[in-house]
Amino acid sequence: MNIQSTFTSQAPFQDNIVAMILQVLWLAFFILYMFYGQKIQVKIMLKEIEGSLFRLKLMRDRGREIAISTIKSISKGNSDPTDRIDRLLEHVYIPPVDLDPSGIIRRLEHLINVRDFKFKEEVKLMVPDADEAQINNLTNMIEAAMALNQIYKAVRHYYLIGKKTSSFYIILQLQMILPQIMMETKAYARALVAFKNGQPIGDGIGPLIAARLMRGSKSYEIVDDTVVGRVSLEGRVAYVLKAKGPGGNVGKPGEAIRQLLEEKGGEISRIIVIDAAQKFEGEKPGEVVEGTGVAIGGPGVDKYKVEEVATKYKIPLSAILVKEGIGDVVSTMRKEIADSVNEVIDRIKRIVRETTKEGDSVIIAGIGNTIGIAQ
Amino acid sequence: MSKSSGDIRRTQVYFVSMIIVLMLLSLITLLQAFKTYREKGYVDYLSFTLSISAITLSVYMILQMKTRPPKTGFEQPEVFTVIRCSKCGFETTRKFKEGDYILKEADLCPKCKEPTFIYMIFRKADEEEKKRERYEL
Repeated sequence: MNIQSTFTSQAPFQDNIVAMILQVLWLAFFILYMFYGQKIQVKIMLKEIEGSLFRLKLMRDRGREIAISTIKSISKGNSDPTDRIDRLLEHVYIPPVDLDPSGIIRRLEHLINVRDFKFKEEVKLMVPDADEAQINNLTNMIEAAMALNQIYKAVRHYYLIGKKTSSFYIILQLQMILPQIMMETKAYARALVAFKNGQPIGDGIGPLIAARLMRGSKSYEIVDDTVVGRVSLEGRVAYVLKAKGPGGNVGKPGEAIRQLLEEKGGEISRIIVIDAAQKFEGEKPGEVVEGTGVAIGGPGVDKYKVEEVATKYKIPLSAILVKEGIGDVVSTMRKEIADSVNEVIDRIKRIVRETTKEGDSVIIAGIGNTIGIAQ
Repeated sequence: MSKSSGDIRRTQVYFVSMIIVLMLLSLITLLQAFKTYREKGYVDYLSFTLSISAITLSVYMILQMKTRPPKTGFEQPEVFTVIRCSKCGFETTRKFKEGDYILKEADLCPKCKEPTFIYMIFRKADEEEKKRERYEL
């Protein structure tokens, strides 16, 4: 019997059975989907979130392990830092009250200073023999581990709330934002590795340019963790400032610019701020753009101070930004970003030539974390 | 805090044994269906469909298990240090060493015997990163 005859001889009977089964299956699927469609979707989404949550947990644990082992190796095993690190990872920062915004910047600055001081003191207690640069790097590393812990806990919180309430919209929102969260978490993991090794990060492009300009000149610490060097640039006097390196540190550029301006009685023709900026998707990393205003990120204390003092003395502000992706800002500096240094310096010179006269004074501020960059 | 490697290995063994059992059962069912067809000339569509689906699923699961886990970001990137001579500008590039930082003084220049310094430290973006950044528009 050949295949053809087999099919033709049994086709009517089998066709009926198969068609009936298929019809019943379709009907069952339709009814199930009508009543349980959203529930099935919720289950699928929860499963997807669960996978990401598991990865976040692995990353959090790995970050903690790296932090503990690095501190152990620097302290040469003199004490076990596990408890202290676990306590630091759970540390909570409570922002100042904003119901009455009057004086909020002063209060915010105070709280940030207290927090920074506490972290550095805790690290000093764990590694008493470490130098300043090492303490700064380790503090940054612990902060990256802390961010990994906080992200994991926040995602877990919304996952469990969604699971408990079976709320489609909570789960949907979490699932929608998850790819971006994963990208940011990966960036923090890379940051942790860079801080551990003391390598310059993408955010350090501002300090790197300032360091290039300052090289060979004498610099001094104008305020805590911030240095200034007086250099000659295109026949003008340039006060170049950056955070004090090579330890991981952002310094206090706002306070430094304010003090410099007060010292000079406002006799400054222009303030040029160089910083890394988040690029749009599609833009190339290391692309250089110019702007007007104070290009200083973070909580806003430094930005506020520069805006205040520049307005007081009516000093024009220029910004030069180097575009970077979210993953590049805190990971070891990419070649494309490092290669933008010469272009930025050319632009600084052009701005100085075009907007100031010979003999004038300008302030050039390299903003960002100066890890792995000295002066 | 984290899942131990022993646990992960146990899970893998469990999964592999499940896949093997699934594959064996599917192959037996498929052989049975062939045997029935050869002996009685009857095509058992249900057995054919189920066994082929199960074999496909097993192969898919094995392929999934073989794929490398996604990068978490803790991988050590390849980082380079560029050393430049202050006088003649001669440059050398080597792998990053612990303790390197930009503007750190380095050895004497092999060409003019003047002091050199660390001019740059950078990493090269991996292919995955570059692929993500390629845009046509």
